[in-house]
Amino acid sequence: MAKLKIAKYWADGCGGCDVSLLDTDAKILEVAAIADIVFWPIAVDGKYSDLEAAKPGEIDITFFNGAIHTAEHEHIAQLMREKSKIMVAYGSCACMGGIPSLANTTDRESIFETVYHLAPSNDNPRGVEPQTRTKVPEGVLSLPMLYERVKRLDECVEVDYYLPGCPPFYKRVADVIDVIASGKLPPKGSVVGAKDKALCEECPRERHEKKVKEFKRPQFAQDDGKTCLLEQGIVCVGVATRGGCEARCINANMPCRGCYGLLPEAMDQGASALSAVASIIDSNDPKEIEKVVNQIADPLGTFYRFGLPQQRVRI
Amino acid sequence: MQAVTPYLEVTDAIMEAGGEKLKTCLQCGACTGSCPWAPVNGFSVRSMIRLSQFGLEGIEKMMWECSTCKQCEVRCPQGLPIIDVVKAARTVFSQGGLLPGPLRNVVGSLVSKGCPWGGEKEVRYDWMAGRPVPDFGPDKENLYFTCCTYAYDPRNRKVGEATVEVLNKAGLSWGVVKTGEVCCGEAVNKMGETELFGKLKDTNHKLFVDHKATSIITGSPHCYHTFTKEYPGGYKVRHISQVLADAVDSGKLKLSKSLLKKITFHDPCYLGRHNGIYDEPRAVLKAIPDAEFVEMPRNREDSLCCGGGGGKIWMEVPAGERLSDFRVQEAIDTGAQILVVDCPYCLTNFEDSRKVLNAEDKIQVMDLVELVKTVI
Amino acid sequence: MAKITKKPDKEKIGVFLCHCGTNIAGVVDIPALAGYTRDLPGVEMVDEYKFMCSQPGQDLIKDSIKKHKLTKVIVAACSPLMHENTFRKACEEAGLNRYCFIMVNNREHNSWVTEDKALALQKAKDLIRGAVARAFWLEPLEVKEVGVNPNVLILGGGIAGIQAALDLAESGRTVYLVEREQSIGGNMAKFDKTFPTLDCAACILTPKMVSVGQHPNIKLWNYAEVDEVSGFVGNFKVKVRHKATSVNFEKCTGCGICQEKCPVKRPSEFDEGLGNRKAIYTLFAQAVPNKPVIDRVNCTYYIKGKCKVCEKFCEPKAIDFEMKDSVEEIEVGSIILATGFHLWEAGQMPELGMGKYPNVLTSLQFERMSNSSGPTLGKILLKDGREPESVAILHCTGSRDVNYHEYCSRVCCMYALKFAHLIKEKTKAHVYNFYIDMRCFGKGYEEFYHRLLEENVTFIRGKAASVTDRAENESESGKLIVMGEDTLSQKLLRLPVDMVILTNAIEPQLDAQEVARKFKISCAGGGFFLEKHPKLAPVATASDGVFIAGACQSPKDIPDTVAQGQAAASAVFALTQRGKVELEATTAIVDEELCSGCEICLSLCPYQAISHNAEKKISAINDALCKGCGTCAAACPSKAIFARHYTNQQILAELEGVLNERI
Repeated sequence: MAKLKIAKYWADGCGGCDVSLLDTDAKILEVAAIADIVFWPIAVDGKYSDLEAAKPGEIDITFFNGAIHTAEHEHIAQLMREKSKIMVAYGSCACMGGIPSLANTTDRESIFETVYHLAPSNDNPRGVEPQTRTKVPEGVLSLPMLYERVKRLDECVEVDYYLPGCPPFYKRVADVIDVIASGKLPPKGSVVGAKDKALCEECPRERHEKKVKEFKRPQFAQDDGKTCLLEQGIVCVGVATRGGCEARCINANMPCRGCYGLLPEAMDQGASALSAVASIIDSNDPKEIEKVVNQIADPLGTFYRFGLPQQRVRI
Repeated sequence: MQAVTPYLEVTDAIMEAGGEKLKTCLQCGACTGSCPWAPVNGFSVRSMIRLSQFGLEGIEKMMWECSTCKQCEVRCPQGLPIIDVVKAARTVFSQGGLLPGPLRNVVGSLVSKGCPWGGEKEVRYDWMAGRPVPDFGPDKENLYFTCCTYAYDPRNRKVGEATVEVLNKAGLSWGVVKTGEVCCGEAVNKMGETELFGKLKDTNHKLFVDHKATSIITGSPHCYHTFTKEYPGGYKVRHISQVLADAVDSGKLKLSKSLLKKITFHDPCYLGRHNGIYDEPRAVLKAIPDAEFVEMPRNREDSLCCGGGGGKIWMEVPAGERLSDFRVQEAIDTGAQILVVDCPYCLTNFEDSRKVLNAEDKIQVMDLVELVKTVI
Repeated sequence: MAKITKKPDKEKIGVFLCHCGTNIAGVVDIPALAGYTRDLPGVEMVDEYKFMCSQPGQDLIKDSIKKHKLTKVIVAACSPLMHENTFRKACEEAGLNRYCFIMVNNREHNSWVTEDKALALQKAKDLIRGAVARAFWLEPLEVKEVGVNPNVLILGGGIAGIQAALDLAESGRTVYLVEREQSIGGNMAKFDKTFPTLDCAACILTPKMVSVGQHPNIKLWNYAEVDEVSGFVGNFKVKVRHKATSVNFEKCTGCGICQEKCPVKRPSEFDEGLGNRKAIYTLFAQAVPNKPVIDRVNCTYYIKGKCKVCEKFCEPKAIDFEMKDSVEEIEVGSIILATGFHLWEAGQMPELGMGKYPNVLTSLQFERMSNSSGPTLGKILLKDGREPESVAILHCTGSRDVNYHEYCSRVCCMYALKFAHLIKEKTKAHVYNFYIDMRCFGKGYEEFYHRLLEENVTFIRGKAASVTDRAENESESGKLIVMGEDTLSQKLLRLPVDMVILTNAIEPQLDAQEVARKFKISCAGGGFFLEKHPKLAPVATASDGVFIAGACQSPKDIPDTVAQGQAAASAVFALTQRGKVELEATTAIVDEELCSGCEICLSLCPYQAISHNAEKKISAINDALCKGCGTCAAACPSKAIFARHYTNQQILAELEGVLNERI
């Protein structure tokens, strides 16, 4: 079998996804054995022109991480799609928008206002904002346009596989590499490197009875270290999130934040988590329920931390 | 018997003016059986409601018999807001100046002078002259609202004067806005003059808001009722009896002087049945050293109206039908030497009855604040 | 069983439009609707008929299923509550699974609530389009049957429970009759005479009580309460707590010497506080069983550690001070709740003087006083032992009163008449009845009212406002003065009387809510047990296999109570005679591939049908307990639970169909 040609790209994201591939440790050598990396800006020297020069379908697999927030992200996504046989949305941002997509709670103008004018660390006495085109004595400089709304990768191009996680857990990345090496690919559109069951399935904590009278933020809770966090009143969205990560956060005594995304039969991760949390409030008194609900800090950021562009229920 | 035809337009008008639940009356008569006026003048609340259900003649006279004491309402098995029906009937029938004579003067005085007693605005605060009455301002916690009766009626003025002394003695942070107050409007509201009431309400409410009042003390239970139930709110309102009970309970006000007398207390309708304040005045009275407190047979929820509510304080009631006469007699029968009240209308009526009954040497009538003044 | 995950391509849907006379057809343009429906995807045929629920209407459906080989059937008619079963049966008779049928409510949801004909047609189109879209996703479901245990539990040994127990025992069923008091008999045992026939309550009740005690098929468990109920229709498991009686019933001969010798005197609850009982007691002389129990709260031995007088005198050595509560588990197929009523204490109406004036009596106090085996041996006496010269009976005490009980207690008018009669019979007193409306609705009741009018009783049309002892003149001194308006003469009355009898409202037992929860039924407004349908299923409840009878359902008189006892018995008989029940097929099911075992659903199930399978680490639903309410399916964050017949696809398809004109 000829060596595979693979590419990786970083759009609107933090870079953790690039590192996660390296986290596979010795496995990365297997990658090298079965594949040549033709384009990976963070690790390999390469230019957009190389990509443009490639023939359609010349790249076997592209691992695309990061959400689509600028014209450049979208342009490269389309370019890579054209040149690749298989497009993998790699990491939570590419799969479902991720943390950057919380920007969708506001608009571009407000973001500029905050970043270039209000942020206390700014030194911008002239109130300059970046322009897509700027004339300088040497000519015209251009910057990609920042979109009003952060998009998932599959809102721009067709995606063949989704590999969720923030970042994807290295063991699952290794599993995926094994699958690729074996050549037995699952049906297109599949979520890979994650389980079909919710995180609770692999959560080591004990469950007793889900009845909660008070919600607490993790830093204010006296975690007993062994009981289900939700039962202790710490909002954990593991109940509405795919497993596969082996409960990394829980094992560090932190609640699941939902990076593995919505479950196969669910329609809206945040709504599922919200209805689960609402179901366990131990009261029939509307006033008390309101009080308990109000104890949940930042509900939108809690229930839709990674999947705002996936949201079906508009709040 | 002459046949009559129901005049349902009148019924509809009464229902629209606030008597919406008029038709739910079962005609059981528990109201008439409870009404203090029924035994003295044959007034039947039930009949009045029945006539209102048909819009028939007779309502316009009967509706002025009611002193809005609420005794019927608390026993009505249908929970019918009977006072609202009375008020609505008065609104419908008093349109076009059909008010009984004495009430026309009251309305005239309220329109031109902002008080029902015919007193001039300029002299409203005269009673305070030479007394330590602080001005209300941002540094004061409580705004004391002076009832018009305290400002203009010579007998009641003494209650106002006593209040100044007692509040200062209790070390309370308080003051009076010494301009712009008008009547709270309680009586005129029950007389069905809703428009005029609205104006009075707006004036006082604006005064409270402009002065950023957060806590108001009233001397009259009628003011208390109106501020808590009819005004838009945004401020805490306490009746003076609640303030005194607090002060006595916390030790800020020491009742130190002995009072070797038998005393009894009359629950004003607007303090008791209307607002559920029964215990506070009793707590104060029971704290007076050596005084012997006795209850009249009809007390608390069962208290007998003095006859002065709902505008009746200004109306002529024939001798033999005055409830206050019966009430003072009831107090005398307990052997009490002092009949304590907590409402300017009750005080006025009982003082009259003392004279009518020739009982001036048998019993004294005092406001709670006046009595407290004598024992601090 | 896996659910469909792909929309089937080919369906043959038959749509039947009911006119319901002019109920629907008078508002909805049926021919236009039929024309529209014919063009919807998957619709094989459309037909209409004047009354689809009639035999010809049903035959039309059946014939069409066979002729057109229909795979799904939609009927647009009235509410599914009315005729869903009718049409399901018709489908099944034609060989189509009953769950391949959808009912569109074109009457209550449309024609009855829409005036504009164009809008009504539009709404009918939308509703039918939704049903058609959903029909594609419907699946046949298998209806399972389980056996029915013929044994019956009856809770409450008043007249309703007694009647039901006797009827069922006669039919050969084993009946467990559980009564929490020492004896059966209930409230009826306290009554003197019964209206309108004036036969004595004891004369008609005690023979039945004795029969209960002797019947070989009735296990009479007095002084017992139900701790726990589990299971489902036909197969209940009930834990009954036998409270410690401190008397060994097997040894006790019921001689009564212990009661005679016991030194403790307590106000008798049975005599409504008018008489006394001992610490070891039977409720009354004809108690069944006639074996006493010790009231441990008031027994000197339990308080001070010594006394044991009863033990000393008990020849058969039946006293057992060490006896403990014991719990017995029984299996029954059906349950009748006949827990009766509680008499509202009128203390909340201080103006009537209850508790303040000793000669103000509750209705049950008067029953005991008038009862010949009661504390006064049937004499009507004032507290000071005199006979009253005048008595006022006040109707509607706490009934028909929004401040207390909004409903009419239904029996007070009649027993007030009975009281008046008894007073006239036994004393020379004059009797006044203060009433709002006289409600004498039953057989022979109006005639009884007439009889009382002839017996020279004074009826005052008005609710008594207050009772006081404040005399205003000599003739009132020592009397109770009742104030009220006679609304007919428009006169205010001030009526001095010697005795006042209240007609206290009948309210639910104080623990009715708790009992309802235990047996998974609901309470209606006023707190009485809620029947399945007020007219068509008056003794059934929302919980299959649990029936109600008597005053626990609403205030009622003895004839109605007995009728309901027999009705409940007949319902149980029908259920047990069939021997099998169908289990609802529209239950929820857990997809084992998706369930993560988060246990969110566990505490939500109102029927305790969900358990945790520790081995598979997932949730499991007991089909027999599940009612298909869908709570778990909605809450499951993995959507691993789906409700059969209401799957996400089915619901979404219907929504899509209703909202989207192009399906």
